[in-house]
Amino acid sequence: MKKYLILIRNSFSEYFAYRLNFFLWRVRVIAIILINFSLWQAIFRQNKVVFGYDESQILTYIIFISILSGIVLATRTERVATEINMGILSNLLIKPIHYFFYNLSRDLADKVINTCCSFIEIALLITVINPPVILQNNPFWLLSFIMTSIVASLLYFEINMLLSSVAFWSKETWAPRFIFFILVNFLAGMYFPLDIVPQGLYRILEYLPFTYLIFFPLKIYLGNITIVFLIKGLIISVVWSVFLWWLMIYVWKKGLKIYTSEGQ
Amino acid sequence: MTSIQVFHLKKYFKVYKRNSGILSALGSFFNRKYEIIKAVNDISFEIKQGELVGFIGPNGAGKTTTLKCLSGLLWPTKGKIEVLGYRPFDKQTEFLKKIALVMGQKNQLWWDLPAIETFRLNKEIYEIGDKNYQEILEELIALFDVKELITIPVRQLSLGQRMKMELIASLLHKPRVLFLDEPTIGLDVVMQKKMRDFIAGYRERFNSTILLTSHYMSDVKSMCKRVIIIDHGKLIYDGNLENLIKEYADTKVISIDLEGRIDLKEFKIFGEIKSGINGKIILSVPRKFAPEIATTILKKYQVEDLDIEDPEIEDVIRLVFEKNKK
Repeated sequence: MKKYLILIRNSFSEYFAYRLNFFLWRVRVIAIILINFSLWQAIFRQNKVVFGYDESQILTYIIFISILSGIVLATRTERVATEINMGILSNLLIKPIHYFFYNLSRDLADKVINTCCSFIEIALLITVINPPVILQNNPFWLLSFIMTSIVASLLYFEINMLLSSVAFWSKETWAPRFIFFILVNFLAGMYFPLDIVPQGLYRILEYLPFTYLIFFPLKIYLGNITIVFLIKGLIISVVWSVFLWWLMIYVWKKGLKIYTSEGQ
Repeated sequence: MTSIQVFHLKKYFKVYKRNSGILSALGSFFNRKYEIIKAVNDISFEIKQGELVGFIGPNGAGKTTTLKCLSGLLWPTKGKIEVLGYRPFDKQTEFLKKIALVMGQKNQLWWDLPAIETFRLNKEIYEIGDKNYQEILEELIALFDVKELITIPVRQLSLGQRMKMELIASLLHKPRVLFLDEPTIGLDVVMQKKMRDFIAGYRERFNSTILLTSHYMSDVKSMCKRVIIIDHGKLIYDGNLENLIKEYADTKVISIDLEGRIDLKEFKIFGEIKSGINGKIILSVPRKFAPEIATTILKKYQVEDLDIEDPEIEDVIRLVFEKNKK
């Protein structure tokens, strides 16, 4: 267990070696929030309620994406494909360490740093612009929010590991990842709550794992949902995460058999 | 006790082929051509616990591929491997704790952090006790003389310094089987010598099995009694290094220091003149006539010094490869 703690500590220290990169990354996150924020504010100037959401709900949704990005979307798994292609993976494969847990530890460090930063940024944003933000105080919804965020993190990890495993078969891993990110931003609800899309489309989205990355936990945070919605969502996301875990291990084992350890 | 067993090991790679030029690149987009490379093609050998074996071959002979199969990184296309009774590819924790693979170009160190952070992480990964860790770490730091360097971020170290850190990181858990791929690459001559002494000493102290590849024949000559030679994925020699010289080298080298002026042409009758500068002549002569030739030279000329030696190991290995080609 201690090895994973040291891994987390090393990942932290590594972060601070490139402070400017990190700072600019955070600037990017804030810029996206501000753009979305002003867009929605403009819409609410004309209407009190849009697609069933009032101004405070939508603005809370947009601002809290920052925290959820820290918890769910912060990852270092994009390195895995490079590690496979460059043969760096060999350094880890010959050590008595579980590669998935190794990556989860690296991710955890990433998530802690990004989440802490987003809390500070949001506090600053709220102080400066003073938007009508909903601060959830019902422990049940807060607990459900935390639980679904953890499931979301696991889902995102599995999807990323699967995408990185493409490197075993192809050197070209950048394109699938790029398309995936565009898809995720839309399908996970990064721009708007997913239930504002036409019902027919939403019925399909409900059964995809991406919905449970951002939209589902945030919807729970806002609290205006039924228990049926919560339970149904939990079942679908847990089934997805179990299936993707199995698939991730299956693909990984297949990949290791054709791994060439090139470049080392 | 047998430590490593390899039976009919084959490792083939599928390699994507492409000619140069835009047109052929475009063509290969629709019609990819592959080639099967037989990196290791049916080799078998056994190594006993405590043996130090040199693994020799030209570039692309299959040495590193074999080491990677033995350490469990690569899935063998065919054949069976057992290392310390384990099947390497299964990567069982107990197996991984007992082996180490040191590759010259490998980088297991955390690039942006000082090497000591990697050492501490390895301590936990290999579950090394505090006392054991301190002892071996101090010993390795003293050996490589790197006390001042372990707290400097790795990216600021030179290639040779990084190599030393790589070695320390790989040896902290005192592996029972050590695969060394070019362990002296990037080290200066003094350090190379220290490294060789360390490897030989390490084997004696821990009765470890060591399989090493090196481009420097002096590494092999000074450390290994037994060598395994492979070329084009095939095993072409497995045995004693001295026997290899006897078996393949039908010549001896005579070095002579002469007084006064000499006519080099006179020495042509004895054998091939390798060099002849300032009264120092190096001759390559048929092995069985070497004593007679030496006696004749001693009688006929004013000799200051004369040596009869086996040819350089590099030359013998070259001969082995040339014979193999035929």
